[in-house]
Amino acid sequence: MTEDLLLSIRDLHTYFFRGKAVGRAVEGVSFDVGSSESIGLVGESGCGKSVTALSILRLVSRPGKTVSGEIKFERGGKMDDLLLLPEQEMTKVRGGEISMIFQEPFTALNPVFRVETQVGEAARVHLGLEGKGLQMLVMKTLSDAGVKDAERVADSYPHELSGGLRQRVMIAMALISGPKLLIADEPTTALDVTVQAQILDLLADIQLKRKLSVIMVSHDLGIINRICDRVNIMYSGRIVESSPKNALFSNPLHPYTAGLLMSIPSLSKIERRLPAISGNVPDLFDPPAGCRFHPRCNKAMDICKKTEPGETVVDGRMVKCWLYK
Amino acid sequence: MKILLKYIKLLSANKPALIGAALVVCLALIALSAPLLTGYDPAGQSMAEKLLPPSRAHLLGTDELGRDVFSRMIYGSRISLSVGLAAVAISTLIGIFVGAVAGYFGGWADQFFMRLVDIVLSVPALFFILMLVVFLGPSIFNVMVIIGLTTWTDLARLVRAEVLSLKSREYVLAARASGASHARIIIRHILPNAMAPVFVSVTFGVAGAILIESGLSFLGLGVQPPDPSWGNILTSGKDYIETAWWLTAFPGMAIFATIISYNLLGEGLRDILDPRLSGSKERG
Repeated sequence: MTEDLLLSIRDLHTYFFRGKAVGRAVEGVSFDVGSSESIGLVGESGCGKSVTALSILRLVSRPGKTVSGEIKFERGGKMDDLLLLPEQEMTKVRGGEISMIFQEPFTALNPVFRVETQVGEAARVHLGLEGKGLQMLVMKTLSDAGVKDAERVADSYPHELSGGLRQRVMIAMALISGPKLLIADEPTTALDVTVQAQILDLLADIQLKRKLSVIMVSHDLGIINRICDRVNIMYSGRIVESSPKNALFSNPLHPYTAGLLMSIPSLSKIERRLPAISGNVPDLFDPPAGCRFHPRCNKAMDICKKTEPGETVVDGRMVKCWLYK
Repeated sequence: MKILLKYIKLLSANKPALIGAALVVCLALIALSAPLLTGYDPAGQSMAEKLLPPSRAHLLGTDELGRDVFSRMIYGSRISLSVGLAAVAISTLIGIFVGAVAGYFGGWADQFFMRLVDIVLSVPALFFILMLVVFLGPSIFNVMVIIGLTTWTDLARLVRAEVLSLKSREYVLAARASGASHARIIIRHILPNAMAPVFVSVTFGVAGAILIESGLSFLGLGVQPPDPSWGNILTSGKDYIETAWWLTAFPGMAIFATIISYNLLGEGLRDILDPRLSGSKERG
């Protein structure tokens, strides 16, 4: 991990508008990604982690909209705010400088194109390659993504491939134009466990070889543990804890983080029942007052119900919780 | 190519569609090879030979000006088919464009184009067409354009519905995330997936357009004499229907056969391309 800043998000707000109601899906999210650094974005369904990821590429579609904030991204030696770039520049960023891998390898590939065409698409758009040169790059990228018989796979249609292979094809699609940042939105959720492990190893390997920065979006702390240097825990549209991986796993600060860690099944501790965090994720259109986690928190105090906690820095880690004020 | 072969295979398993396709190909071949099939000039008059019944010299007889009916019908098929195809090409381009833009962008574009469709549909089609022909004047070119301009609405709705469901697919988002522009996404990622109902609609559309052309020509508002078209052969034949049946029977049969062959092909395509609508048991 180096200290060169690649991406810096400040006070990002992305809202969803439903008639007069406003769903605050992302509210005041800030974090940095250094070059060749791997960041985890963790939370339950509906906490805003995917929306944060989509906001970076400005792909949130109606009725959602990024209303304020700053997304500085290093381009050619200077930091450009992606939210202010004209749409035409933005299409160069998408797929060219920042790529994204999606959760569902079954639906994220277009059924009417052969793999070769789809993998080559970004290189055609961003690098202007055609013909032989394009074909060679496609084959090389496919084998970099761990596809063994690239020739055969390149000639196949998506429905002829297994889930694991499709996810490798998606990874190849994302890598082909040599991006600096890879956003992986739950890249292994739809795969079975053995394939998951292979894909994670592949991602870790690629990250190292290509000096790639990665934002890994997941609800699975086990995956985050394997890949990430630094972890941001999101809850109801905010980052509630941001911490280097090892510190977070050995000593979680926020009660929510602690709850998430407790609910990972482990073979060494045989318990009769896995503890779960009670209650549900709050409604984004009608969040609780004060700290948004307080209705589910076992350490909630009076102040938690009234006032929202600000950022507190503890040993170089950031946490938003009244316990540390 | 692989896919094309697969469809040809499926098509040959569907008997009505196969018959339809064979007839369509035959008609096209006849139209293309017109000068090889007949030695008579379709406009060549010969008053000495007027109103002759079918014979070895004149396979389908002659008309009131002594012109060979077989030759006129074969040359007429060129005009009728090309009017049908050109009109459908125009209406397909408009329909796909309107449907794709309305479905993909939604909002104002959708409101605007769909209300336009409502307006076009709210005027009786034949009345609309007749009005345009009267304003623009009857000619082969005008008939093509006018039929094209009035028959795109169904296709536009069809394409819009397909696009609406396709645009929220994850591969479209993935294409956006890899830097594809809106135009590229519509043309490369969405439309190829929406083509199945378009093929079906185009096939039925050709039949419809040929029928409209025949109707217009019959009314004297379509293809103008001396150019032969099935419709205007019928018109000139109707005065002699009691004495010279061959003047009306053969062009009528030609129109009927053409329409039914395109319809058979269209229904077959629908069975093959859209399993939800098919009543047949064929499986790919």
